[in-house]
Amino acid sequence: MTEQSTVFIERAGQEVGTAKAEAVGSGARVLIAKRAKAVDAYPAMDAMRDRSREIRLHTLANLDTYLAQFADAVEALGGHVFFAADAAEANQYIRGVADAADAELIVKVKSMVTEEIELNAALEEDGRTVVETDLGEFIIQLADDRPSHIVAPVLHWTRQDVGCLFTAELGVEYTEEPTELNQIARTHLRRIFLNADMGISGVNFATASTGSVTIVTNEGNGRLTTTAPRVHIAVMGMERIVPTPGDLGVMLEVLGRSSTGQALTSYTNTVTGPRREGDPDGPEEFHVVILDNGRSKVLGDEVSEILACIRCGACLNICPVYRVVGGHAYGDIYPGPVGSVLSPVLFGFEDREQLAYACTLCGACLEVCPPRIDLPGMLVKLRNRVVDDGDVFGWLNPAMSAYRFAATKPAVWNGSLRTASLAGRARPGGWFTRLPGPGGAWTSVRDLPRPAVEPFRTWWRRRDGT
Amino acid sequence: MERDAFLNRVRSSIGEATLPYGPTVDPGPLVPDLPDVDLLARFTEAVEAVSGTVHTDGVTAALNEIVASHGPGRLIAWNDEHLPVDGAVGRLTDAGCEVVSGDVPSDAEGRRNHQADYLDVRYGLTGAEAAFAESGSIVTRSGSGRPRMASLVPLVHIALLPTDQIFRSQMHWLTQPESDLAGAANVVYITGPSRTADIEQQINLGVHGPRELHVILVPA
Ligand code: SF4
Repeated sequence: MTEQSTVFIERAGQEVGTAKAEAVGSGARVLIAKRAKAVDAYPAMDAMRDRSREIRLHTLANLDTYLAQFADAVEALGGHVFFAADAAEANQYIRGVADAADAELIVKVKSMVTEEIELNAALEEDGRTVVETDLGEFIIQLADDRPSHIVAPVLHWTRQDVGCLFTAELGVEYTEEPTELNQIARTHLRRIFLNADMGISGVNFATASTGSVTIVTNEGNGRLTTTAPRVHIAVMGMERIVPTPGDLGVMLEVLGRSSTGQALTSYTNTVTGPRREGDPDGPEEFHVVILDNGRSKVLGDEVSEILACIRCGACLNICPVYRVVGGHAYGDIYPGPVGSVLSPVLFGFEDREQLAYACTLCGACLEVCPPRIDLPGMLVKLRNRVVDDGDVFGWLNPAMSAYRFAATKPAVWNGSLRTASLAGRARPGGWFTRLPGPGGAWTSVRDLPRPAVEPFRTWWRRRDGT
Repeated sequence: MERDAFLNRVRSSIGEATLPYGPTVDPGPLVPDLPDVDLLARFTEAVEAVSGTVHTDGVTAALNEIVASHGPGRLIAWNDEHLPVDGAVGRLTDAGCEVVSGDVPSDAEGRRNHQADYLDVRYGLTGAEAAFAESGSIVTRSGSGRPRMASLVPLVHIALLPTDQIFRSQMHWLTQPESDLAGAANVVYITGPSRTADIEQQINLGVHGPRELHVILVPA
C-alpha cells in the first residue's frame, strides 16, 4: 500500500493547490486551534512539557535497561515478547502467532509502526483478512489510499468523498451526513470486532516497571481490538518506553492536548498482560513485538533526539510547508517536520535528500512539540549532511520554484507563514544564500534581522479571530 | 532477533548517541500545580465539555431517567458487589432491562458465540474507582465480576462514582500508591463517550464505543 518515496519536490509540485492538499491545510488549522485552546486551559503545560522531555531523554539514554525491564515484566505476567531487528522479522513472528491461533479474521487499531513494516500486506499474503478499525484508516483501507496525517489519516478527504466510497464499497445508500457515515461504519465493523480471531494494536507508551502497554483512541476501537479477540499482539517501536506509571502519566497529559486538544483522549487503555484468573473477558494471549528496524542506527545518530517523539502530530499541523503540500508529498508514512528528520535516517537518504529542505526554518514546530524536540536544528544538520554528500544544487532550483509557486497563490499560502518571515526568506536567491554552511547554521538564521515575530498562537488568533 | 543481541546493539548505539541529557538523571513524574477548584463542580463541567452527563439526583432517580429516555434494553453489568450501592442492577431489571452475561468463555468458538450476543446491548452498568476533575475522566478496572465490555459495547454507559474519589487531575491520582495502574489486566481512563473527528474534523459520538456516558454520583 505504501508507495515508495519519490522526490519530494516533484510530489509537492503535483500536490500544491489540489483540493486534497487544501483539505489537509484546513484540517490542520482546526487542529491548531484545538491545541491552542487546550494548552491555554492547562496552566501546567509548560512544566509538563519540560518534564516530558526529561523523561523521554532519560529513557533513551537508558533504553537497553528499560527494554530489558519491560520484557521481564511482560513475561512475568504470562505475556510473550519478541525482539524484531527489522520489518521482516516482526512480520514473520506475527504470521507465526496468527498461524498458531488459526486467525483468519484480524482487526487492527491504527498504528504507524505496523504501517511502517507493511504488516497488512504480509498477513494478507497468507490469505488472512485484516480490517482497519479506526474510522479514518477504515476509509483509507476501503479506498486503497494512503494516510495524510499521523493522527488524522483522512484529513485530505471530504464528506462527499466518504459518502461515495461507502456507497461503492459497502453498497449503502449515498449520504454525506457525517453522523450517518459514522453509523454505517459502526454497524459494519461491530460484527467484525466481535468475530475477530486476533487483534493487533500499536503502542503509545510501554511502561518498563510494570510491563503495561497503553493505547489511546477516541473511538474505542483500541479497546475493542484489545478486548474482543482471543489473541492480542501489540507492536511497538523500541523507543516507546517510559520507566514507570507516573512517567506515563506525564506523557499522557501532554499527548492529548498537543494532538487533538483534549485533556485526555476518550479512552486511555492500559493493558497489563493477558486476561487474569477470574477476569470475565479480555484476550487469553498477549504478545509484544519490539521493533528496531533502523532505530538503533537513529539512536547513535546526531539526530537521536527524534526518538523522543510521541507522535502527537502537532508539528505537522503547525508546519507551513505541510499545510501547503499535504501529507502525501513526503512520500513516506511519517510526513511533516518529524518525518523529514526521521524518514531519511530511518529508511535511508536516497530519494529523501530534499526532505531537509521541506522547511522554512520558521521554528513553529519547536514551539509546539511537547518534548521540545529541536526539529529545525536537526533539519539544518541534515541539510549539511546532504550538502556534504554532493549534488544538492541540481534540485534546488525546482525546489525554489515549488515554493514560489505556493507563495504566489495567496489562497494556498494563506495562514501558512508569518508574513514577515516569508518576505525575509522567500525572496528569490535571498533564501538559499542565507542558508547556512556547516555548523552554527541555525543560529545564523535566527540572528537575521527581521521584524519581530510574535508567538505563533497570538498571530493565529489575531488572523483568524478565533 | 535474540534478545541479548538486540539489547547489545541498542547499548552500543547509546554509546555513540549525542543525547542532551546524561544517563543518570531520572526525572520521575511531576504532579502539576493546578489552581484550587471545587472538585465536584470542575469535574461536572469537564464531563459536560466532552459530551457526557453527570447525575447528582441519586442513583434511583438517575437510572429511572436514563431508562425512560431509551426504553428497556439489554444490559451488561458489573456484579453488585463491585458497585458502590446495592440494588442498581435490580433497578434496571425492574424497569424491564434484560441482563446479558459478561462472562466470556476462553475457547475461540465459545468466545465467538458468546460475543455474538453483544450486538444489540443497550446499557452497560459499571462502577468507577476514581475520577479526574481536570479532564472529566473516570477510571475503570477489570477483574472478577467487572467485565471490560460493560463500558465498551453498549450504546449507553452508566458509571457509578463515589463522590470522594474525585481527584484534581490524572497525575494526582496516579502518583498515590492506591492507584496501582498495573494491578489489573486492564485499567481505562474514560473521558466522555466514544468520538471521532475523522470526517472533516467534525465531532461525532458513538463510533465504536458508547454514544452516551452517564456518571451517577454516589455520596460517600
Ligand atoms: S516531533 Fe514533537 S510535535 Fe512532532 S509528532 Fe513528534 S512529539 Fe509531536
